[in-house]
Amino acid sequence: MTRLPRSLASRLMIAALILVPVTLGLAAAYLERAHRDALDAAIAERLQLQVITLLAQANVTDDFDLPLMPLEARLLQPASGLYAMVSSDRGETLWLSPSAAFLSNPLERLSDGIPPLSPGTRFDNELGGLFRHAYQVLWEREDGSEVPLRFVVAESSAPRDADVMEFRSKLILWLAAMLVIMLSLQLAIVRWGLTPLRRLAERIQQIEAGKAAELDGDWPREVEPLVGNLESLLSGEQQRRERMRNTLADLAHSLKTPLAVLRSADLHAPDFGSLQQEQLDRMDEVMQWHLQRAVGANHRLLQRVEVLPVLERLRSTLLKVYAARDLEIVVATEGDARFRGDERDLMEILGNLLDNACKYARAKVRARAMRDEDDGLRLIIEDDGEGISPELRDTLLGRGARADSRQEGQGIGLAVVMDIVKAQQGKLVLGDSALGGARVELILA
Amino acid sequence: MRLLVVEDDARLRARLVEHFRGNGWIVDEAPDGQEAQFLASEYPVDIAIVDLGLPDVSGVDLIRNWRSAGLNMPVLILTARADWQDKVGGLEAGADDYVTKPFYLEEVEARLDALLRRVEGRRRSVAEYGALSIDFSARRVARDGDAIELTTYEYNTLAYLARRPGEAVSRAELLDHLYDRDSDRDSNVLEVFVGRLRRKLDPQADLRPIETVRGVGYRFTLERRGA
Repeated sequence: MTRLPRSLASRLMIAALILVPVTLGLAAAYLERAHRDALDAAIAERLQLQVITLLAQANVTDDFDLPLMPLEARLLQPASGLYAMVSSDRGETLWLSPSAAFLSNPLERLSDGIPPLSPGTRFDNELGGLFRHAYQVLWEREDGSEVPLRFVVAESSAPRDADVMEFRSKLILWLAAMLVIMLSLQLAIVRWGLTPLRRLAERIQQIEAGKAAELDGDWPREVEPLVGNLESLLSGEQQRRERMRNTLADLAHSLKTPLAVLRSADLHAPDFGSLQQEQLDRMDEVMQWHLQRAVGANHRLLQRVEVLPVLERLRSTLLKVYAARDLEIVVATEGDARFRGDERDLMEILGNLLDNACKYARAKVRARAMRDEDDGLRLIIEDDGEGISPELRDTLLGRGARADSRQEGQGIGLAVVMDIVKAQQGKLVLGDSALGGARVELILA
Repeated sequence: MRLLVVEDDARLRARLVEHFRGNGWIVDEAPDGQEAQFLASEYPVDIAIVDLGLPDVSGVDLIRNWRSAGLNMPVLILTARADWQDKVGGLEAGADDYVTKPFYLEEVEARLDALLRRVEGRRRSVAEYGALSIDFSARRVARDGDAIELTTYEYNTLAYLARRPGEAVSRAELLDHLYDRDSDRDSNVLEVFVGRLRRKLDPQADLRPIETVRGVGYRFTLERRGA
């Protein structure tokens, strides 16, 4: 199968190259047909007038008679292109115009193929290069008897054909000019219409080259969502890079302290073993802390992850992990509960919060997700444990504390959740649950 | 208990094997998924430790293969990555619990004990069988509160039987679960162990905790109390 061209402009131009000639071709066929029909109708009318003129001049006594000088001079002039004949109902030719003198087989050419007609009816057709008009009359003689007569007037179709040919030539010329104009206009429209995309590509190239930082400027309505998403991705990437840099810097900073303690320790001191163990534990904790924080990403592309499947997967996982404690874990969502972002982040948030809840619960843990009135996502995780005292809440939320100076008792899990929530410009609230224990509420965009 | 350790890092694997063998476990070891697949299909593994980052097949795939082959032993996964996506992936594949690296060997052992307790339907590590009590974590046995000194093989034999009270366990099964694959398996040795065990547990022959099932093997006769 032939592949479609990758360029939008090529696609639009190919479509125009097919569509415009087809449309113009159809229009040309219609115009030519209409012109020809109009000419034919005019000829038929003219011939009808000729018949009426002949009827006016005819004189029917015992014989059929027409004056030597009919009103139409062309009927007297041989090969004038206008011919006439009058015949009886028996097919006997009563009168043939002198103009048909040099016409080959004039009687056949004027009368062949004309069906029997009832009086007062007419018949038009084109045969052998002649337009023929037949008119059947019932002539009442002076004695009251009636004579059926057929008047046939014919005209050469050559002038009409010449007219049609001329019209066709002019039409083709005009339509060719129109085709060129329309395709040129189409090309200009395509270029104009795709200008914002070209500008966007150039802007991205500038960003790649470090010559620009963002996709600022006025963008058409159709391109705006794309620009918005790209802006989001770019700023997300920038924040991610910054976050990685900070994480690595924090990690290095945090590891250097226990390393310094170990390096400066007395290898022969009796407590060197316990000191070494203590510092190794500290380094492990520091690493876990920083690595888990690095998981959280903060791009806000349009990807939306359904919350319920993630909650259900975590529920069955935690039921396995805490199988010995017979915990009841209830998960539920209301309405269209979807998380805008990465499934990994959602799992990290819910995994850490549910794990904490399971750790401290007596028997029951409940997780709910719903959309709030501002179309944000609300996640509520509750347990029936002892709850968190108001004094501890501030400590746990690490208010005013440096990112790497975690307080005693603050699990890595909650801190990681807070990092992701912060990156999402969300909110985390600690409170009391109706179940009797802690309630963690998250509000995310 | 026959433990299979699947870990590609030779040092870490050696430490795990050394630790558990030192604590009386029968340990098989595999450095990769292929060897682990072979060992699990050839030997009756009671419990397994699987590192998720194996060189040939992933730990998750290995566990999935075991489960689809009908191998239902508890599996503890070791993972260097502590994010939930990995934990959930491992547990969904059929693992029963996880430990993140680095870990203390005691923590791993405690998790294995907890998994075995879960399989056996016990809540606590100490199981009471009337006058007899067995602490499966500390590997201690007491009668009426008095500790009884048992050798590793004696303890392993008793623990294996006591985990399935009332069930007749064949000699072949006992040998499979109590001996290394390289050991000389002589069922006479088993009889000697059981004889010594009976004398230590029941010197007056008034409790009769282990009875011989003719033509089959042995049965632990005492009922477990509580959970």
